[in-house]
Amino acid sequence: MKKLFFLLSLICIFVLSLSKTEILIVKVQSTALRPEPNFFSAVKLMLKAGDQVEKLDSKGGWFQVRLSSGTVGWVHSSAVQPRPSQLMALAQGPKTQATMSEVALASKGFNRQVEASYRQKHPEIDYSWVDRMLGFKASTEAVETFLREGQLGEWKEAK
Amino acid sequence: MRPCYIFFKALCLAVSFLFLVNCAVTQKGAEILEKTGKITSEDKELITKTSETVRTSFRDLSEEEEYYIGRSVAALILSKYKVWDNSKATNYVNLLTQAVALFSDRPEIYAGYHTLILDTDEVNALAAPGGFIFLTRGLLRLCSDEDTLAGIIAHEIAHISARHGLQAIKKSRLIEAFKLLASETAERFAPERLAQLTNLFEGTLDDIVGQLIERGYDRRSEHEADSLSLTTLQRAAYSPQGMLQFLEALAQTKTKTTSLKGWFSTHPEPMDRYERLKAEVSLVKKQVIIPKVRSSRFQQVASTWK
Repeated sequence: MKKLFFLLSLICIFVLSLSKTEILIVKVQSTALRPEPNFFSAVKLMLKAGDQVEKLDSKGGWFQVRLSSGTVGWVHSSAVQPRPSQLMALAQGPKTQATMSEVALASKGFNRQVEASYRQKHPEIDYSWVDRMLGFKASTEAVETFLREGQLGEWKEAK
Repeated sequence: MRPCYIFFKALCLAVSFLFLVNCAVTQKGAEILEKTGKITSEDKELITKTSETVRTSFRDLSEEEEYYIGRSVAALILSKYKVWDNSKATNYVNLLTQAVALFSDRPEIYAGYHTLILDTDEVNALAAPGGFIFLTRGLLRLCSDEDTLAGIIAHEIAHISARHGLQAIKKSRLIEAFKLLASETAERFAPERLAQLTNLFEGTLDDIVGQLIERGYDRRSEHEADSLSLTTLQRAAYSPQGMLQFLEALAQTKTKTTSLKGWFSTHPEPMDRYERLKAEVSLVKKQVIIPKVRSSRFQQVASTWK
């Protein structure tokens, strides 16, 4: 009887997963939700790894998405991945905040803990420049100015 | 055995297989079932284990795993080279990297793209998984303009975007790591498991660093990166002619000396790449006229690395 319950439960999950609602999960550390499908469009709010959004539309490599708060905006497709099973969507509805447990489970693998263990084993390997490197980040405004002045991207026809 | 039981067992296997396509969700689903009392904790662990072992190739590594592998690969590269700490040049190459990345197939990556200049005359460019790019001063000196440098950066971004570095990881090592992960259901690794995983992590780094620094990518990966970078340059409206000129210059440098390390030992023949890229560029009808502002801003920063 217990096995039957187990089998039926699996079947239920599969059936639920066929829902048409497409949920996307943020796979990068953070990404911006923008009002337009453009990297230089103003930032509405920031999403972080594990956050889930509902996909509404797509356009030129961008997805229009809705958060659980109802906020609608655009995220770049390279920042998110589809969640094939919709179990969670039906069980909880799309949400914007991943729980600590979800983040921890999703992070299981070659992660911070493994790096720390490796560094303990090899104290001679210096990560200071790697950490400094991560701080080399130009602002969106600086990149936009760089492209505009260089007549690149959408400014390529500018005279 | 009763037909009904066999049917259910087959159905169970089929459903399980479909679920295994998405391990994280499977695990979460199992967690819910356990909480609601539908399955036991043993069943939950079985589902979790099976779903983890479905990860079989480098493609199954998450963005976060790629980032943590890349961090350590970057640290190992930096243990072999000295950094050229020049803020003007570093700011410029990072601005250029982030601008070029927007036109690549993977503009967003776990922690973004970052570039560092290595203080060596060696002509080389290296891309660690996760967005860490290294350019040598020797290579920068060979670049005649911004469009050329944009082409080289686009090429390195293409290696990262296509996950070429991760392909160097021995499959047996990956399988072993995935199996090990499958046996660990706690959020943090137990000491023994962590030690085993650390050894596998170390082997993974050796596989990648060995390819990047000693063996180089295979021809297929290099040609794929060339094609992808050409697309990126076209989207950004950079001239692909610069990349061609660079390969030509590289080929000439090679004929002058055979003792250069770096690019020459890890990349296919520059003339081979030149011929292939030239054929692709010839298909691009529109010629790009490089505006003066691009030339002048490049010359200003290029004076620092001469």
